[in-house]
Amino acid sequence: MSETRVLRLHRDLYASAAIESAIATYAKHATLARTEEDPHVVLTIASERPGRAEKVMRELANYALGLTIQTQTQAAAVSR
Amino acid sequence: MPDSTNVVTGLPADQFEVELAARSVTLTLAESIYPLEAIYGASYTFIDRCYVLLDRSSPTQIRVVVTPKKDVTSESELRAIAGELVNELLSCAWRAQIVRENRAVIEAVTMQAVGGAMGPPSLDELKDFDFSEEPFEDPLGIGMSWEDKYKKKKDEAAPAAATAAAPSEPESSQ
Repeated sequence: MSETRVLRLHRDLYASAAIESAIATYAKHATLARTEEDPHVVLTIASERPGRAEKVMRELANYALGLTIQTQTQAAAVSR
Repeated sequence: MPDSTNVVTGLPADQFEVELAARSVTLTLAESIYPLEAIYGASYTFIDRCYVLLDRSSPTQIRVVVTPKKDVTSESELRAIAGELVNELLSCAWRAQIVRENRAVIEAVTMQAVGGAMGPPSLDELKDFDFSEEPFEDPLGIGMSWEDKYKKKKDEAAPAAATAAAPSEPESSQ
């Protein structure tokens, strides 16, 4: 039986490029479906293995946040 | 361990919640107090040991959900994480404000360092340089040159010396 989790990432807080990069990185670990519900990007994560969808959801969110922060920091440094 | 949402004692009740059922700490932060760059900075220090999720609970508020990666067995551990996060938020917010306030000084020092690395200016560059720019307020006149500071006194002293010397001239001519 497949386990499913839903992750909602706000567009104001997560960079689009970071979300795309995170999806590309974690797509091989679970089945990912991406939809748009303004202002959120909604990711439906499914996996047959118990606990895998939850783990991928949390790791993907962390990865997207980390990339967003790094991008913002670099952009701020360049603007200075 | 109770299986409910609790308020962390010692912290504002409308801003902090500990969801023990989900083993997570949820903070609702006003963006006017904690700017987004401070929330990013504090979140970044936690992503190695916690799962951090940001969301907007309202146009002016950001919700931060922090879930430890390792199993948390007691409420006190979650309280400790909440406390650490609040401290880090305050630190990042304060640092962000200092950077904003001192931006002009930081830029001036950086420009001086870069300018110094480029070598001494040529005579043409010195000729074209705009010395009229005043980068900071100087109410005590510390940055003022000696000539500027005493120019007025010199002008005042000159007529006085002239009037003092004037009566002696007819005497010497006689």
